Amino acid sequence: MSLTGTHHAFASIDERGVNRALQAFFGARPHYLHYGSAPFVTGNSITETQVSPIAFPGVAGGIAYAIDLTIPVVDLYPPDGTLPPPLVLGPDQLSLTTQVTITIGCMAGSDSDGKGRITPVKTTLDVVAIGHPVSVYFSPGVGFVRFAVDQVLVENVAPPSLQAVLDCLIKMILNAVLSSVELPFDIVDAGFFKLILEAGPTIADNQIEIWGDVS
Amino acid sequence: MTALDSRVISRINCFAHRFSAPGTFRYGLSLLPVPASHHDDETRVQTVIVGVQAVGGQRTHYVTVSSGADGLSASPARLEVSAGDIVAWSADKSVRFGFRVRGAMGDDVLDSAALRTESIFTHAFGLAGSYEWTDANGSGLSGRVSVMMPDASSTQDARLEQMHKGTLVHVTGSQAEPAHVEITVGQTVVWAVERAPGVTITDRSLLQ
Amino acid sequence: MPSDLIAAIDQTAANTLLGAAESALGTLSKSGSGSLGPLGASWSASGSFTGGTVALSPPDTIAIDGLEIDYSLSLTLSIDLSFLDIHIQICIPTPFGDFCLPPINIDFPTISVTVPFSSSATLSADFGLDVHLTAGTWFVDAVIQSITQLDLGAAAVLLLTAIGAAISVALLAIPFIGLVLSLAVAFITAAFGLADVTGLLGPIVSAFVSGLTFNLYQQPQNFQVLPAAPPYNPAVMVTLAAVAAGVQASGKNELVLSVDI
Repeated sequence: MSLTGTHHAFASIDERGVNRALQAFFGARPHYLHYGSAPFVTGNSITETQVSPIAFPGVAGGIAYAIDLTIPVVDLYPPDGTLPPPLVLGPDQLSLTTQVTITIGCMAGSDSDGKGRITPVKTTLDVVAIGHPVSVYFSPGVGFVRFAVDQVLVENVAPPSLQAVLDCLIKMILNAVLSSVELPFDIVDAGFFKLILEAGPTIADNQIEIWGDVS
Repeated sequence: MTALDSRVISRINCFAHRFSAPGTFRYGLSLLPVPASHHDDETRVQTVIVGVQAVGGQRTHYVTVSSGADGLSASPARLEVSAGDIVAWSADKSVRFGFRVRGAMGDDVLDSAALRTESIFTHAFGLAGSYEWTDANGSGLSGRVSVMMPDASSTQDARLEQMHKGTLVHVTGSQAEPAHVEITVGQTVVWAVERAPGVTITDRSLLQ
Repeated sequence: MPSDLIAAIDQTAANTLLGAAESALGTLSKSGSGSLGPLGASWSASGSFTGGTVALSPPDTIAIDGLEIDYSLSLTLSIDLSFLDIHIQICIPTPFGDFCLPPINIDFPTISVTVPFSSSATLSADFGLDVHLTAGTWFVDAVIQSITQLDLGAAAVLLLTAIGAAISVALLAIPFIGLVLSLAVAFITAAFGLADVTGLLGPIVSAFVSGLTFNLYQQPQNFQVLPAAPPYNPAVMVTLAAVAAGVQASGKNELVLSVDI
């Protein structure tokens, strides 16, 4: 069975390649993994993104918080191991594991000046997600592959209602983070040709595959 | 090198003069006009010593002009002839730009760039065309030489034989007879000049 | 172990890439010298490649059929005409007596005749794949290995005609040549023929073919995935640690590039 099939060009990136690309992306641009309001993050930089505190009546200055993620690790179909139920990895899907640390600026008591004291309180959650690749094509050789998360499971959380809240929260955060991650066609085909995308991306045999023609 | 101009004697020209009376002709060779007095320096002057007329008829003597590190020189530099003999000057391979013969015999000036009497200028024509010639010194003397390509049907031997035939133009005063001649490529025209006011045979296109 | 990145093209796409490679190669310039029969010849030429049909053959052969070489040539021939030298001796009656001119020696020169000429040739050849990392850049080149056919077409006949025409023009400009033109033409005509022209033209065209290399792939080892987007997004780079190329036959013959990052 040929690689190109009924098309004239084929490109694929395997699981190790995807993870190395993600390491390169987040290694160069860590601010996509670290978010926080003052006093945790004092300004935007290469390493962190400042967000506004959560406004709440009676909480002076709002609720300070921070979200930190580890570089996601991707597993392409077929799965390398068993996923925690009810997650199931099917064809054309990928699983993604990461750790999410949520920090709250807990305000308790007051200092000698009468101002509230903020004490960081954090928890780290193990997150597993199921997602799929999405292609965006502009013109020959110009386009990219992105990831979208369909389902999230935050492990070892009780009661189930809290898990549901966290699953949704983390899903929104992951999709927001991954929306910035773009793998250009150039990295998939190593810059060999200018791809005119005709089919894919699909996931099989631990690799993301795309087909098309060349210009 | 192939231009028709008697002011400069090149390898396809010759200048000749008949010395009719005894005497000594001292002359210099140059590319540019040189005053006659310049010839008083005997180390730079060539001579033709003309003796009395010899028994046995006219002879033609040949002087070869060469170019070297010291300039132009004649061989032989000293020539003894008899009255009535013709002396012909021509250039060898070393002469790239041509030469001029100018000197005096008594009060008479002999100048290859200003032909007066008993002088001959020859020119071999190498390229076909029509050559309108005139006197660069302004006497009004003029004529035309039409040079044709050899007949295509002629044999190589016939063409080479034609080369050895000259055509005479007799210049008397400011008149040339015939004024128009027709020859083939490779042939030579011989201008014989007498009683002229110091004329040149010069392609009119060189004077424009 | 399978590679991280795999890119493959079939023969149809390979033909598209060949066109791009030919354009990228641009115009080549060559020069040299030879002979045309007994005549010395020097030449300078420029050439470019177009067309051709690719056939991929495992494990690493790219056969190109009908590759066209378009070339422009400036050929300079040196012709010694001294064999035509002639000696003129004239005697003529004048008013001053019979006058025999000094002998006139007509020495014919060695002439240089420049012949401009343009034509094309058709080539079929096998190319092998050469993968190398040079000065921090990965290259995958198709390098000519053997020529299966080189067709000069009618160029030799046309060049022979062009040479004849150029020599005729050059001869007519030589003073006194009219006397011996037929001799000159006869000598030159007998000096060389179509076989000699072919013998000169073949090596000239071959000079463009020798070592012919088309670049199929060229990327820096330090490969940019995403460009910098200031102020907070530096460029994203990966290292192309290893590159391999070959032709695989699995239903279709495909040129496959394998890269580890």
